[in-house]
Amino acid sequence: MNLRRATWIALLGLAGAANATPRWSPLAAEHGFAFSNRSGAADKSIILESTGSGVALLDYDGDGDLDLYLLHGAAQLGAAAPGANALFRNDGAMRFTDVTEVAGVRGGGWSCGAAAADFDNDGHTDLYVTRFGANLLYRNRGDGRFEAVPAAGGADDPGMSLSAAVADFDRDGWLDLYVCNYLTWEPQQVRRLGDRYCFYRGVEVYCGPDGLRGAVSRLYRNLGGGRFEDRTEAAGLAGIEVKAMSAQWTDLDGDRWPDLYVASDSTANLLLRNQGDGRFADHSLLSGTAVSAAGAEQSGMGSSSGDADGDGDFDLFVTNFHNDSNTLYRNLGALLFADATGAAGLALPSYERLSWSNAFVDLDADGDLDLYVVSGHVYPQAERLGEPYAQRPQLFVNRGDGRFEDHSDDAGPAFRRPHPSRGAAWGDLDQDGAIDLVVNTVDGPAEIWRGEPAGNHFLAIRLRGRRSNRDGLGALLRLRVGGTWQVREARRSDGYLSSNDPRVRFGLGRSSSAEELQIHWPSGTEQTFHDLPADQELLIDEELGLNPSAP
Amino acid sequence: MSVRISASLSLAAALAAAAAPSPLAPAATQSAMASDDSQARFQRAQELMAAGRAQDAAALLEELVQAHPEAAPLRFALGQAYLSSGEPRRAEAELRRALALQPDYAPIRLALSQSLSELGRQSEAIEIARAAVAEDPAAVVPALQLARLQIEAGQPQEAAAVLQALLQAKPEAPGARALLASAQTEAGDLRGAAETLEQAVRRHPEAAGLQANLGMLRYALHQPDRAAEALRRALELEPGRAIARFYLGLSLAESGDRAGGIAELQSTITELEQRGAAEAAPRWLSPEGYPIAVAARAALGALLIESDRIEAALPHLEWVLERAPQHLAVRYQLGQALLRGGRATEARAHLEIYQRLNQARELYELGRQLATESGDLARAEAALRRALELAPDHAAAHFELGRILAARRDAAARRHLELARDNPALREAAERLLRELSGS
Repeated sequence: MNLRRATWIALLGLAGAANATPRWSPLAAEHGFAFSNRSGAADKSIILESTGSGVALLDYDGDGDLDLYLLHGAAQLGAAAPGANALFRNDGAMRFTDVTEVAGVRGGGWSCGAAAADFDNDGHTDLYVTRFGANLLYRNRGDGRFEAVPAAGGADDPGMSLSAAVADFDRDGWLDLYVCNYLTWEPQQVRRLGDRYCFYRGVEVYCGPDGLRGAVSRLYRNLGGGRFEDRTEAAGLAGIEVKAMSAQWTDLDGDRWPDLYVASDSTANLLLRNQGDGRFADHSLLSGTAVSAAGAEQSGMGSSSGDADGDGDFDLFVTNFHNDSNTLYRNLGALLFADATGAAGLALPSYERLSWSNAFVDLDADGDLDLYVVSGHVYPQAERLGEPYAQRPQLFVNRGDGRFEDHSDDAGPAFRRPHPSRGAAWGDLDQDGAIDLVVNTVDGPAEIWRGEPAGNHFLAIRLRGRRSNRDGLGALLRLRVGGTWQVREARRSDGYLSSNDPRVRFGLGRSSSAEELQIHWPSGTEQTFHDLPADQELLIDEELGLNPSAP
Repeated sequence: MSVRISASLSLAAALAAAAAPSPLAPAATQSAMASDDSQARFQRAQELMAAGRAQDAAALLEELVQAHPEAAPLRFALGQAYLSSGEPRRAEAELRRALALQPDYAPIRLALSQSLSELGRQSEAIEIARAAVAEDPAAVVPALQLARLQIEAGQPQEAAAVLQALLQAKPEAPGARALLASAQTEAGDLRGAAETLEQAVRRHPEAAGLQANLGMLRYALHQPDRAAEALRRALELEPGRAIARFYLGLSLAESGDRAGGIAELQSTITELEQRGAAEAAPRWLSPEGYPIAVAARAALGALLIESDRIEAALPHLEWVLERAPQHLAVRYQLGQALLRGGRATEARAHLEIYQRLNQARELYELGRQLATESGDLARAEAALRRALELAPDHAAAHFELGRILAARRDAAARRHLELARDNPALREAAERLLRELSGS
């Protein structure tokens, strides 16, 4: 953290800017970042051309700042496309250099999403890439280059994979993978735009997902040494065939085992409770998170988890289709949830959006979790019905009581322009304490939206596991500020097809320090730290503690 | 949506044409109708029709037609009587004869068009109504009928164009704006429909129905504050309009006034109970044909759950399920409410039923989509049969399957259509198909 900058931020806070809506501006092209996604035909003649691609934020070169990995589809499904994913090195001061060739992560075929994580616990962040076709695992060699692990170490799922979520589900110290598979691709069953077969409000569009078969998503257990084994069946997940688009590993019942929540398109969402014995129990319907309050299956796209109402447990948010509302499931405890979308003020603003990536993150650093949502229609033809293809992103600011206010109009120029967005990730790219956003679009340029500091104090916690996985994913962090506890979970796959900043963020509002930080590591290690000054990034090592000098 | 034109109005036109010399009635007809006895019997037929005794009127008119086979107004009246008696096939034949005798008389075309519509021959019905409109583009009744038929045939955009042309020629055409709003709604242009209704409301501020429709549209557009405003106006004009009070409750709840929403829904239920009427909900509110009381109790239960008043919600949800056991949303909500109330075993039972019914719903939707949009009848039939295995009382699935079977003249269609007839929302369409099957 640049201390002079941090001091400036603190002064801004004291000057009374603490309640200002955070703002974002698109980064100009001369900053060295230029990437354009392609997802098949512009008119979207088959369903897979509409699902888009994501973005991963990772510090691939270990220099302390976040680099960008952007995913790219292809001109045509099934064609032998050379791959056009791109890795941009962060050179500081919001300048980027395309290092894809040197790093060797161009991919190939049709890429969808990426999960960035240290799968081999060597201190270097690796990349798992989902595709329509066999997925890829790039091992970070630590010298600026990656090497493709043959058959992705056994995790080369050949399905139509979208998001991948990472956690150490069996708490053995190695990060495992859950890969969302969308459809069982049976080309003979697939009708295209032009076949006069499927219509949306009277306008012809591509067919699906209704009428197409879902797929079994896969659980890959990390055996260490770059090898994975498929534990789908052993975990009791082989019989579950939905249209999975995104997934979150999150401890929903407070037993310290990461449970799994899966957003599914036009089928019931899944809540799979981790029993701690390698198996999962299906609590989808019983938990109240499978469908809307009216018992209706929705079109689950992106998803995220966070303590939206500040009561100490994790709530869930799912983005859905146009003319339907997104859904906030409030955690009532004992694995019961209530659809609190309307009560939280999130229903009305979402009906005129078809939304994808999203995340709970304290964007104004005032101590509670806000929410951003990016959107874009799946049917270009819907323009004729007055449903825009490119749609404006949304910022929902938490009032502090679990109710949200739509501040999109005040959130700067990036939030005032429509985009056909899909994947998006948050992270502090320029280390100024403000959250930046990176958004991938369908058939168009990706953008970096630079966040302006909102004037509040913050803490960013970087975890380094020893007995736990190296990234510390799954750790539970509780921070006390001004007598109030905030609860966060180390997790990075919130949203859709994307990986967020691995650092756990806390907003401190006007407080210049936090009284206490408790960390509950996946291994069972517990640590407590006191009196932490604000506006800095803390490295916490599972064995060595706060800001150790040893690597 | 019913496209039945008023039999009494049409008959009145025919009788006017028959009873007094008219430029519309050919000279031969006038002389044929000269006999006092015939005039008296015709008058009697008119009275029978007015009394709703269409079959008796038809019997009398048959005798008159036999005596005066060249009298177009008599054949027209007979065609109308058949139409009102639920015999569209005989109506068609008679009206075609009338039209041959008097080809330039638009009301005959309209009645013929109506008969064809009742026979399920929508495209022919539309063509004939279109011809009537072409004869006099500024005439209100033909344009309204054409538009209604087009809406029913799934051509709401064409209907809107017809009505917009009519309104340009006759801005005060009665009923045209309300119908245009229906066409725009069916076409998915809810904003356009709301604007049309705003115009209609400005012209007829005392029309409670228009205000109520505007409020419901505003609610569908997720504009709860504006919805509440219009619905309150509707209720000022007509306090007993249950559907308006119901939507006012929903609108208040959606705008954040949950207590106000609960109060209005409770009032809706009380009013309906006091009246003792099972007032039917509109199709967009309840495609299953449940009455408003069911929708009101379901919504009230949901709002009470949202307010964490689980015990208060349970009786409403149970009441609904006693009358509408296939109500998916309420089945689910009751399951969830019981879980939250710690009654896990009962909850699981409800949620299991919900799952089964939901699977049936999905299969029905798939079958309907395959049948109506894709024309893949074999897959549609298979999906609908699976849906009925899971939910044997699924009226809409019975109707769709009946429709597919009727199209290929399969005798099994009758059983499915008879079962579909139990659903008020499907009754008219099922009966029409059954009549067609009987006719064939």
